[in-house]
Amino acid sequence: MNESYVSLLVLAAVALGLGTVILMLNGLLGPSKPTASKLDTFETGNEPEGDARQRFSIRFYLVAILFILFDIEVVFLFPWAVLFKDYVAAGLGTFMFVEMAVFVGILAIGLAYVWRKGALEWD
Amino acid sequence: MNTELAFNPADLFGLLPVLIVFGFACAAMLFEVFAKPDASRGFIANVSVFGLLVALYFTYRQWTGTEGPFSTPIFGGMMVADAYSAFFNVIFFSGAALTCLLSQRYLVAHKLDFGEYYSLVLFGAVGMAFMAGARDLIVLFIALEVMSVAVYVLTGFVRKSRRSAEGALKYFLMGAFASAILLYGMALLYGTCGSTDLAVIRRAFDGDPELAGSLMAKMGLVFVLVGLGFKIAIAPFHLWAPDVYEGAPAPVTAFMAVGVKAAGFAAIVRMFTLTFGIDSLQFGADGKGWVGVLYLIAILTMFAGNLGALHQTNVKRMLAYSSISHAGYLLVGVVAGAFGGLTGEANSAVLYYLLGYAFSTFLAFGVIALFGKEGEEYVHLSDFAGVGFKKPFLGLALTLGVLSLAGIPPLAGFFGKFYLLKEAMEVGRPEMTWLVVIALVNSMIALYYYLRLVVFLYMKDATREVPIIGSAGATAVLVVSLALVLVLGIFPDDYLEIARRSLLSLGPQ
Repeated sequence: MNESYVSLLVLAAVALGLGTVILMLNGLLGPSKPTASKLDTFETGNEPEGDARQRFSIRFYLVAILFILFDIEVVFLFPWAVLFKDYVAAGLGTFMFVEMAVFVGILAIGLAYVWRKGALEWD
Repeated sequence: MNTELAFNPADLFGLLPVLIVFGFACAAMLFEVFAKPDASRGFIANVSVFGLLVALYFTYRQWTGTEGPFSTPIFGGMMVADAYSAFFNVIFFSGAALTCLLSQRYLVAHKLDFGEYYSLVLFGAVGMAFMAGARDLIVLFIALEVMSVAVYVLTGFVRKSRRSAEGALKYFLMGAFASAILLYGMALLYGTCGSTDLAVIRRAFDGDPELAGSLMAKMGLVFVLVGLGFKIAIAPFHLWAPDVYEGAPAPVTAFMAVGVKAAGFAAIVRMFTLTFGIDSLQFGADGKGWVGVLYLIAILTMFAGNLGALHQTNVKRMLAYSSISHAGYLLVGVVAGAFGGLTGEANSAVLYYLLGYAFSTFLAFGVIALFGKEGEEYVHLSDFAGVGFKKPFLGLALTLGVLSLAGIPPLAGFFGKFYLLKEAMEVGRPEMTWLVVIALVNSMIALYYYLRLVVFLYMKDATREVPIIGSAGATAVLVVSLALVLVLGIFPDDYLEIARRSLLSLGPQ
């Protein structure tokens, strides 16, 4: 059963090899004329400012985690919505609707909690 | 389209106790945010206890509603509502209820009065209940995570305490690794058998000794054991336990020592004695099966726990090591259960032992949680000096709690240990006799540190003033635990019958 994985291994080896070879060729053949601004950190074309290691507000963390939560909700909702007509045709309409209602309902409780807790307010 | 998806109303009745707890957990969360900000959160504890009592009532209804060892598959067999999970649900729900009662005044006195606490305790109990009912690797894993995440947060609940934060971080990091290892083991088992269903896995191994002997299956088994072993703190995966048990608020420590451990054993007994309970895996062609591994781990765990506890002066740490050693005794029962077969008595001795251990632990921690004020727990041995005469009831409760843990008749801990070791002897194998001898030696070592606490309680004079947070809830916890420790120890027959019936419901898969 391990033979079926050989093609994956070959793919990985080729991808790694190709990348390495091209990068090395680049360094060997390309002209190298470094200037101060070329060697600088790239920051969307602006002058880089300050250190990368600085403190972030904990609020970013909260927003990010809430984003993931509700993002996943959509990931589940989307295929459900696309297939819903098929479910109805198969006689599973009510079941699937209640299932999704339970799922969204649980998330709604979470949303009510974070809302009242003030996690959605920036200041 | 797969019509097996269709909703089955019987599923709901099987899950009803857990769903009730889940509902109350959500309600506790909403109460916290919709109540007046400066109002006391004590009422959420009352609501939670009420919810748990309702859930316990429906668990009782499930039990009495059917004759004999019942077993209802739910969600197409991914979970099961059987007498076995009902038995464990009683431990989880009553444990959670005792925790809530104990915490009510504790949280106020330590300025931690947040409703999320009760919500997390209930969510933890839900995870535990799912763990006891899981018959599928995926459900088992998710249940374990639900339980663990709740307990991680509870451990770090004393936000301003370094100890608490340290414990929570250690628990979380190591727990995350353990979960990863467990998941890896499950992936390997899935790779070997092509299914996550425990019954299918058993059939696959049963019909194919070569598959059961393969390296992949062995690795899967070992990784699963490591993952679950971490949760129940067996040596050599126990090193987190003392720090975490010490850092967590005392009621949470009790909840962990009882709930998490019982949930882990629920999963281990179901998985190992049942799914992996076939000769080729248990003993292996070359005598190298999981029974041999657990045999060594049992010895190691008993010694690690008892020797570690000997020189502790912090009572919470001491009880943490003591709980490690109890996991060791329980493993003796699991090993004996493998020799004796599923219907053997040894496994029901494990269940009975867990029941007695649960209430003895709450009896001891119920007293310990009362010692302290505002973010500081007074849990040094010397803080208990003279308490036996100053507070006779607290002294009596703590004494009986630790004596029950030590296994002194006529308490629950004694009968549990006696029955467990008796069944291990009756397997009638020389290596089991040795294991019993080692367990007895360990019980004697354990007496030293349990009795030392009693010596402090009654024979030493207090060195400093110790604030005590008394409350009706805590008294209720102590009275209930005390009554159960005595009843379980003096009239064990009915409860043994319950344990037997629970175990029988596991049935041949």
